[in-house]
Amino acid sequence: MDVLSNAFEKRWFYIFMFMYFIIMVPFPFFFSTTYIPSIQGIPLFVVGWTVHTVITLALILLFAWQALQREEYHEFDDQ
Amino acid sequence: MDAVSQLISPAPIPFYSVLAVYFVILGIIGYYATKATKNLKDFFVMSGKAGAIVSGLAYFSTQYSMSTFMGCPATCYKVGFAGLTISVPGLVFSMIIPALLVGRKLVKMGHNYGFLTMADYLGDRYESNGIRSLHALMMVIFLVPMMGAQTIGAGIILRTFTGAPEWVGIVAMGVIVILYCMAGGIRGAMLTDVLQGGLMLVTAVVTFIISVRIGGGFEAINAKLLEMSPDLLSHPGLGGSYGWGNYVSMIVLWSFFTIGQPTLFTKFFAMKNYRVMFKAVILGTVGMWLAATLIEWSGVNALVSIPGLAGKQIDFVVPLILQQGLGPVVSALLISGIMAAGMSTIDSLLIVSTGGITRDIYQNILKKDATDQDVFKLSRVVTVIIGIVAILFGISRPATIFKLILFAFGGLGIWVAPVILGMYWKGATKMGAMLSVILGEILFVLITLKYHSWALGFNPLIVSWTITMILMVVISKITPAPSQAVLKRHFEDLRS
Repeated sequence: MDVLSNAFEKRWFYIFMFMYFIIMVPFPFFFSTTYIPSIQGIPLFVVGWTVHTVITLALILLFAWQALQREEYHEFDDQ
Repeated sequence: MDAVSQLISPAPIPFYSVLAVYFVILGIIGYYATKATKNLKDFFVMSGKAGAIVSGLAYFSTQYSMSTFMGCPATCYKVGFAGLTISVPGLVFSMIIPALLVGRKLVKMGHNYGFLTMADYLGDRYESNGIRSLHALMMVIFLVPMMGAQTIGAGIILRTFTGAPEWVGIVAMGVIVILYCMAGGIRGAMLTDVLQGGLMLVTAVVTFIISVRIGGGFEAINAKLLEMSPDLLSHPGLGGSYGWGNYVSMIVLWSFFTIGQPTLFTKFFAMKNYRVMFKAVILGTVGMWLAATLIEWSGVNALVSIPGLAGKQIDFVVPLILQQGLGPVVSALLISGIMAAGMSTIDSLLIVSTGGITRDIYQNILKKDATDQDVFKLSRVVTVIIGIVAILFGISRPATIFKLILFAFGGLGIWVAPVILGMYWKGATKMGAMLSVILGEILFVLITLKYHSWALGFNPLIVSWTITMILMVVISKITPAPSQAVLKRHFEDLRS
């Protein structure tokens, strides 16, 4: 029932780890030592973080939806 | 009159009125929680019946303290957009990573084994009262002064806005939290967290809107910032403190290492089922993301909206924005949102500290024949005693101790090593866990206090934790393996 023994959780673990580590990479849209303006002069990295957060949130929603279709996630529903 | 008081318009009557109403509402919630708290399991984990809204907002409001609304925007005011690095880029992972790595197991163990505290898990997994006491003691020693630190914020805010002595705010905040925690336990704490979390969110949104409006819109603010210094719009920020090492550290600290915070760890024991866990993750993540992004961004906008702040004035950037854009009653209401951030952190700290003393030390070590009902009654008394000690800490303000404790609180993150290895590696042993944690804590203190270069540009916790993991694996390899009964309970029996 964890990210090592359950194939479903393992797959999602890799997806979230990809999203986790990619934001640490100093791409100019995440980390920039020079000012790169975007919409309304807002630094590009703030927009990059926002887009990354929205995508990750969407993935969390998908993960939750898929998980709740599975039997093992309904163990305590009747309590 | 100090520099801050010269800037702020004191409004004692609206402020006292709003606080009075706010405290009465908290009292009513506390009273409701009391009626539903009938035994030890209710007191510590709501008998594993917490719903999604309560769990999500409680997780978010516990995580965010007064520094989120004072220290963090102040940092952004000093360094510019790079200051948002403190929590914004990694925030979306702050609940999903703990939920994915340990959450599902904790929900299940809470239901199946009746665990109430983090030390319950550690003591059971490592078959050791030694590790149980070590964790409980460290937790109480670190958390009680942390509560005191939060009450100080209330004292400062009350003094600034009403002119009342600081101790009045410290005592008022302390007493109201003690009352609803003593009576309603974790239910009192989590239900009030819902109100407090909502208020924090509204405060963040309104502060942001006002800061943009006063500054003349995004385009005007950013053009002005560029004129002041391009460093305010790029990494590592003005002053150079948010380089890549710190950027990565902040992402990891506010996601992965929250696993080691007992106040958050035990929230999983309170969750009713997995549906609640997922809803709480989504709700809590959105709440945290909005609150942190907007309040920290407001700090940057304030460079243009309220220019020229210096020294201690900068810590009051959020109240100053609110006072500039709103009438006295509404601004008092939203400033009480900052106090709510402190209260929602203290209440959880108070409950887990109580658990450390009554459940982990008294019931499991000192008096093993104590019934749950005995411990339940004792817990209410201990909650009051710990709360009073925290208030005394707040009033006496032992500065050097606070500095020590505040960084030592980060040291609780070292415990992520025995938690993760205990859940994922059958070979993790009692000696491995205890020795590696002790050595890891010593290393953390050394790096933080003296040998800064050992951190290699990252936060000291990251390096210390990595060494702790390595040490734990090595020591576990050469010390006696856990019993088959423990391996069955923590691995085979949890498979489903």
